[in-house]
Formats: sequence, C-alpha cells, structure tokens
Amino acid sequence: MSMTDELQELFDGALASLPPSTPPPISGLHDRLRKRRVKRRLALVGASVAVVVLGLGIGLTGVPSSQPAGAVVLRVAPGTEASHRELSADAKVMRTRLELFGATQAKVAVSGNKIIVTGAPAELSDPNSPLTQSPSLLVRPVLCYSGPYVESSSTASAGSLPSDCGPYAIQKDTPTSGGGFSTPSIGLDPALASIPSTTPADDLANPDAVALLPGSTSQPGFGRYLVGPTELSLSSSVATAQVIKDQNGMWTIKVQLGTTAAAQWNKLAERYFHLDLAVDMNGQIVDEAAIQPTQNTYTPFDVLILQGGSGGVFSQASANAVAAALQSGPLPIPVQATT
Amino acid sequence: MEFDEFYREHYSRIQRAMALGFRDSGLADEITQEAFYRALLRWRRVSKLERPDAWTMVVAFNLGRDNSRRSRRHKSKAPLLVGPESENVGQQDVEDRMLVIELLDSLTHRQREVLVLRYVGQLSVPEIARSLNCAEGTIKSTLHMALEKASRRAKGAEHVDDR
Repeated sequence: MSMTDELQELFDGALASLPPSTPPPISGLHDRLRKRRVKRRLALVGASVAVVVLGLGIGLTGVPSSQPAGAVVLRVAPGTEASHRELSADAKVMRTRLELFGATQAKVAVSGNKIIVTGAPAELSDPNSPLTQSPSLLVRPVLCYSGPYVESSSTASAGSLPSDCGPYAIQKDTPTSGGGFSTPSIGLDPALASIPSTTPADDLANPDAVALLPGSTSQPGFGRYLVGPTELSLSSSVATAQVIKDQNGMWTIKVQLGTTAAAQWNKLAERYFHLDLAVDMNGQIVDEAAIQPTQNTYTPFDVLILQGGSGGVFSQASANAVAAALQSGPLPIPVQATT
Repeated sequence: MEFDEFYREHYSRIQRAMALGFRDSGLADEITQEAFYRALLRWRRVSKLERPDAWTMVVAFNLGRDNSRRSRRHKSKAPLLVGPESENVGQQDVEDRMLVIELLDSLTHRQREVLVLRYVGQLSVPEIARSLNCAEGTIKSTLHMALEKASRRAKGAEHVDDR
C-alpha cells in the first residue's frame, strides 16, 4: 500500500472516530440573513448623513507602502491641451487623493502645463497607478456565466457576443410552497468558452454593448460573466471607500454610495430583485450581487464590496490607491506620471 | 443544487474536518456555521463552483486560523477532541485519530489545510490549487513534505514498537 493510501486510511479512521455532527436547523441561517438586511436598512436611515459628513475623515486603512518618491511630474496626454483652470481642478482632486492615500506630506502645485507633486508616494511615479486614473464603476445586468477562455481552432471573435443566453440565461428565483425561494441551478454557457474576453479599452469605449468580462481571481473558480448594457454609472457617486480584508484574507474595497446614487442604485436593484447585477470596474467584474434572493420584498441597500483589480487581486497599496481615486471623484483631465 | 440540500449533505464532513484540523469541536461548530452562512450569502456564485464544499471548507479553515491567532491556543497542550465518542468507535479508529492529530500538529497551517482538503475534503491537487489560489506545484510540494513527515513519524513509531 502506498504512503498516500495509508494516509487516506488513517484519515478515514480518524473521521470515523469523531462524534457524529448533526447540523443545526437551517432556519437559523435564513433568519440571520433576514436580520442582516433589516439592520442594514436601519443603519442606512440613521447614519447616511453622518457617513457623508465623516466620509472624508474615515478614509482608508493602511499606509503608503513605500517612502516618498521625491518630485513626480504629471502631464496631460500628448496632443491634449489643458487650461490652467483645468489643471488646477486636477490638482485639487489630486490633493484629496493623496491625503486619502495617507501621503499627508505631499504638496501639489500647477506649474505651466504640468502638475508637480513633491513628497509623492512611490506609487504615483507608476504611469499606470490608480492614483492618476479615474476608475469607472458601471452597473450591468448579468445575462449568464462562462468558464475561462479556451483557445480553439474555431475561435470566434469578441464581436460575436450573444445578447441572449437561451437555456443558460439567469432566471428569477421561484417561490416555494414553504414560503421561501428556490434559486434555479444554471450551468456555464459552453458557447462562450471559445470567445475571448472583451478588452478593458473596448469595454470603456462601448459601455452600452454586451461584454464578456473576467471576474476577480480573489475568488478562485469564478470564471467570466456575460453582462448586458450599462444600466447605471457610479463612477462619480462614491461617498466613502474603505479598504478592508475579506474572509479569504484578500484586500477589498467597501464602497458607500452617496445619497443620490443610492436612490438610483436602489431603483435599479429593485427592478432586478431576485436577479443578478454586476459592477464592472475598468473591464473587470469586481462585485456581483444576487439581489436579495431569500426575501419576499426588496430592502434598500447602498454598500458594495469590490474585489480584485488589475491582475485580479488587490494589494493593500493598490486597494488604497483605487479607494482614494473612487472617493475623491474623477480627475477632470486625465494625467500621467512622466519621467 | 439547492442550498438547503448542500447544507444537509456537507455540514457534518466539514465540521469534522475542522474538529480534526483545530482539535476543538466547539470552535469547529462555530466556524462551520459561519462558513455556511457566508456560502448562503453568496450562494448564487458559490453554487456555480466545481466544488462549493471546498470553498466552504477553505472559508472555515481561514476563520479557524484567525480565531486561533486571536486566542493564542497552545495546540500541543490542548486535550484531544472533547465530546461524546461515537457508539461504534473501534480502538483502531481512536488510535488513527491520535496519529492524525499528532501529524497535523507538526505541520504549518498551510500544510494542515492542504492535507485536510486532500484527505478529508477529497479534493484533487488542481482543485486544491484553485481553492487556495496558488500554483499546483506548491500544493504538490506541500503534500510531498507532509507525506515525508508522516513517513518519518510512522518509521519512528515502528522503531519504538520494535524495542
């Protein structure tokens, strides 16, 4: 018998020796879920004003991951003109971002046709840093699920995305005789496997088109999502963005929506009650919410949890940078760090 | 699969895996319940995974690890699992349990997690790698190290028996 087989026998014996475990009644879990929804609703009513007022002060967890990089020069894209007023508006947003990021020693000034940041964190000198970007947050309906992309000899182009998934389409939960709801089990659409994902550039350029987008690899096993046209943009609607660790030890961003956006979000979410909505950030699905599948009536909520980012997983620094960018609002004019 | 069915089918095995992994059936109950609650919160996605039971087991393991760090339990001094024995438990099964506990105690948290997922969760190496978000090579080498430790312990035990 191999060592592996011996170990398996050992574990089987060990398990057999343990006292039998009867699961507690499942109604306990369902009750807990219902109470969580009610608590959230009460917290929203009571704390929404306080959250907005305190939001900038609550800010982020964590500190910049490195020593200041010295002076960093930010310029607009080549061929783009920017007035002094526009650059000043950018500088104002950048000051807020850096403060939220924890770089309180940084100084931001407009000089000619550029923005100079002294005492900048090292992250700012990366031309792709989220600190100089304006993350888009697009809410889209989930049409169906797909596995990872598999290259084949008959690879279809991304232009041939279906808008209807047929038998693989997401369906509403159905009520059961016991007063609850049953979630239909739906497989992955095999027709999507040979279609490459929509690129972030295409996704950004065509928010009203159907897209096939990857999910966050912070939740391994989740493949890709076929999503419908954008229903709502939340890019300028974040009241607070807090960096926290989830149960898998991954850095996530807890986003609290502003009052107007929360109302728009809840109107949309109620329309999609018992269906799926996804949040698309720069071409990746960073949050997917099944809208209250165990409830009979819709309860408003306004907190989103974003997972993953470029490359699929947030580092603490990148999560802090994205959270700062979300909370400060978009840069009026895109800029990039230059050497 | 419906969540209720999933819960009934997998609860006992996951709870026992946690009891074995953390040597505390009270803690095992807590973290298993919490892990299933989190699975319920995300059921529409979790149910699409190849092994939703593996996802739940990994979540439970992480909860147990966080709890262990906070309470600074001294595993080497903790008593064997507390709780009523099964009626039909044989002496061999109890000895097996003692050996498994001794082996798991000698491993790092990650090695323990991989071993329990492999031999209790019955996951394949690729499935474990996907569940823990790391390379298959890492899992294989972890299993290899754990098997070597187990083999050394078994030889040590035989040597003692021979004297």
